[in-house]
Amino acid sequence: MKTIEVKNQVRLPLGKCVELVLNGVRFRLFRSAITVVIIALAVAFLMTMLTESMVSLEVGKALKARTGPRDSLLFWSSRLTSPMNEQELTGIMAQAKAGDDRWREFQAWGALDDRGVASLAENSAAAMTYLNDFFSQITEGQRRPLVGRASGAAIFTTLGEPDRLATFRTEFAKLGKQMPTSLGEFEKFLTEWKSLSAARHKILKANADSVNMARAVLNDAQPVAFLASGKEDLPAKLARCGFVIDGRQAGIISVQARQSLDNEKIESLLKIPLVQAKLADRTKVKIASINLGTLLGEISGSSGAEWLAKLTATSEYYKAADQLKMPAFNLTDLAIPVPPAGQDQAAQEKFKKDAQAFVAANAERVRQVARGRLKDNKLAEIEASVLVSGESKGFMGFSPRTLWLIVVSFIVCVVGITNAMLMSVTERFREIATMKCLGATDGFIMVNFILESCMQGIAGGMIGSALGFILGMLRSWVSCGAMAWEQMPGAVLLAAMGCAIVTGVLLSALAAVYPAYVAARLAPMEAMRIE
Amino acid sequence: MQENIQTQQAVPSAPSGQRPVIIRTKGLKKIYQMGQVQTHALRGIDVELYRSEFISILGPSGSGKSTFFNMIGGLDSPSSGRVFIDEVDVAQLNAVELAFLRCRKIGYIFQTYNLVQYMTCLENVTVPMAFAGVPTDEARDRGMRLLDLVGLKERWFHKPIEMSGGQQQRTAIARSMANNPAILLCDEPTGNLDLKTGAEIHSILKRLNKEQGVTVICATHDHRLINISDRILWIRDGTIDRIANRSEITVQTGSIGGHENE
Repeated sequence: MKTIEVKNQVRLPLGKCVELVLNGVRFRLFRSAITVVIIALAVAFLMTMLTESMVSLEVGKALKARTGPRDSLLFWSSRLTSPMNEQELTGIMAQAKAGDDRWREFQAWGALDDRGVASLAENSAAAMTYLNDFFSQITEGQRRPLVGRASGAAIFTTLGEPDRLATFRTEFAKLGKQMPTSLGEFEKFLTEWKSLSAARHKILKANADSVNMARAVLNDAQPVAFLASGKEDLPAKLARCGFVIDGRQAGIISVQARQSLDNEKIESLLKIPLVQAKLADRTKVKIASINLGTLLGEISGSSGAEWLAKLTATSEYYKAADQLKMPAFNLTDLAIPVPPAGQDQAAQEKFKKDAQAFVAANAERVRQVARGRLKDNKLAEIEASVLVSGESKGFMGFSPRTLWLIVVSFIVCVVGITNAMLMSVTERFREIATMKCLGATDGFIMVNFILESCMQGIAGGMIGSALGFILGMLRSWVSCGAMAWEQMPGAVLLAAMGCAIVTGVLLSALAAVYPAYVAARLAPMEAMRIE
Repeated sequence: MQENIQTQQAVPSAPSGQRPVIIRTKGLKKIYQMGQVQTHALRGIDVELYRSEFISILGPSGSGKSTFFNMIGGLDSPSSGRVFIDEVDVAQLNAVELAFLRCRKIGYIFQTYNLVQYMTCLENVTVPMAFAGVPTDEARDRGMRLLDLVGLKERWFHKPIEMSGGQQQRTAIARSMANNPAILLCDEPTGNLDLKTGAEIHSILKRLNKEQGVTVICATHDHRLINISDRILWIRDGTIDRIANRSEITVQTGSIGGHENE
């Protein structure tokens, strides 16, 4: 005879649960697919945003690295011809680091030791802080009563006079604004500024001397041309004038200067009517609408470059250029071959060979320069678009607006999944109740539904992150061009993908909690109900 | 033309007190509150059901038959009064212990079979075993034996949708026997079946009752099922209207049509 003895029901191992759930998911494939799609969409949105912001961060970094040479060239071509003023000196000094080129220049010009330059640098940094954070922030009308007509670094010199400082104190109290530091701190800075003024003026004087020497060396030539002509000897040449530059930087600058000169040469070709006419002929564009873009587009290909090199080697071209007093078009280091005067067969042969080699070399360089220029133009465009998109600050590089959109997409996703799961629970009332009659505990039913949702989360997360990655890269490609692929941060994106999948799973687990609770609370007697 | 029931003379009416009681209810009441209206589904039922009995519960719809049925099956709790299943007070059990009780001690058979649609015949039978923690291999062997018992051994791999109603109900019976329960609760087991398949189900239930000593409690309208019961219990308006031994009542069963029942 059977006796009844009641104990606690056994807990099913997770493996068995997974097996049962998978069985059920296979049966309800269509509904599962809908849930998966909801998760996939939300995750794809997140992943697109992640991909885009990460790629644009990388592209931004790369752009900075690429525009560096351009900025150095501008800096050097201006400092060879015009001496610094106090304002510029303060700005440069504020950024000097111990042992770098500027640091050593200041040491030489001011006859200072490391400590001396360090105190100057520190003082200049403080000066820039006061200028940027206070004196530039107040209006002209507010500044006048404080410091009179003085502006920039001259403000501090002006305030060095005791009566002006007294005026400043009273007027500053009336203004009711905050300094980056306390007023006492500012006055201490002013005293130091005054005490360092001798050293600054010594440096400015030495700098002016160096510029004079450089002018003599330049001898009316353009500084860019001078920087371009220098190769390995550029640091030595500059050192003779008192400027310090290391070999690597000099190399970068001279390459950039060369590029800039060659750009100018190509641009100047458009002044020649003959070139315009020939280009119009070649590209089937009206003469009136020919511009630099047309020319660059044409000669960035090898056939176009060869065409230009050949054209500029014709006597027709020389005549036209002579009329405008323009030099021969030569982007190479080679001398332009001159036809031999006599009828010497060997000399003629040699000239022909040289001319061919020259045209080929010129064509190659034309193509390079044109390509470089087009790339620079593209970079400038990307720079503008990356700056405009403004995605480079905030949490994980997201702007608050994007963050908000992502959060909303998550909420919509959770609601969608909850709805789908609730429908699934309602549909399966009888099945759940039967399971409970057969001995399923509330915990098992709950785990069952959450597991089901998690599995859908994994599937949706994987599909969504792959989809989002592709979409994000495509969008980055549109805005940043090939740079998006070149600068793609693979490892970071892989990690982001992992995060997106985990997010998908967490979202779906979260969304399943309420439907699972409803299912677990279901009374087993529902199984008896007949519809 | 007379229905052939082999067990008609085999079961004598059991005098109360001599056989052990398996289910006892004391002052069982159930009140459903629906807004302002109170519905008295059960108005105090005291009854004793004996071990290894075959009992039919009858009553018109709305009589409280289903409520009573749910109470003694441990599926619902009374508003007042008590249900003892083998001297265990069901109200004292927590949710996990109730699950244990439902899993091993009671087998349920539903009018609508309630098989899990996405599982095969054998998988359906082994679900309660999985809940009871029976190892997979043992569960499979036991499942096959149970399917053999109900005559579905050859169809173990079929899904419910590929089977007839009778076959589905036989699977459900195999499932209800999965953990060797002491009680079988059948809610209109033949309500959705034709006469012939209904008769098959009846004979299986009777066989389980006779051979394995399982207490079978059926809520039914089927007169042939009443015919093979040991006792019959009528419920009306939430109270017990009448309890009678099989021998005390006359059941007339016949067949409709000719060759269909042969």
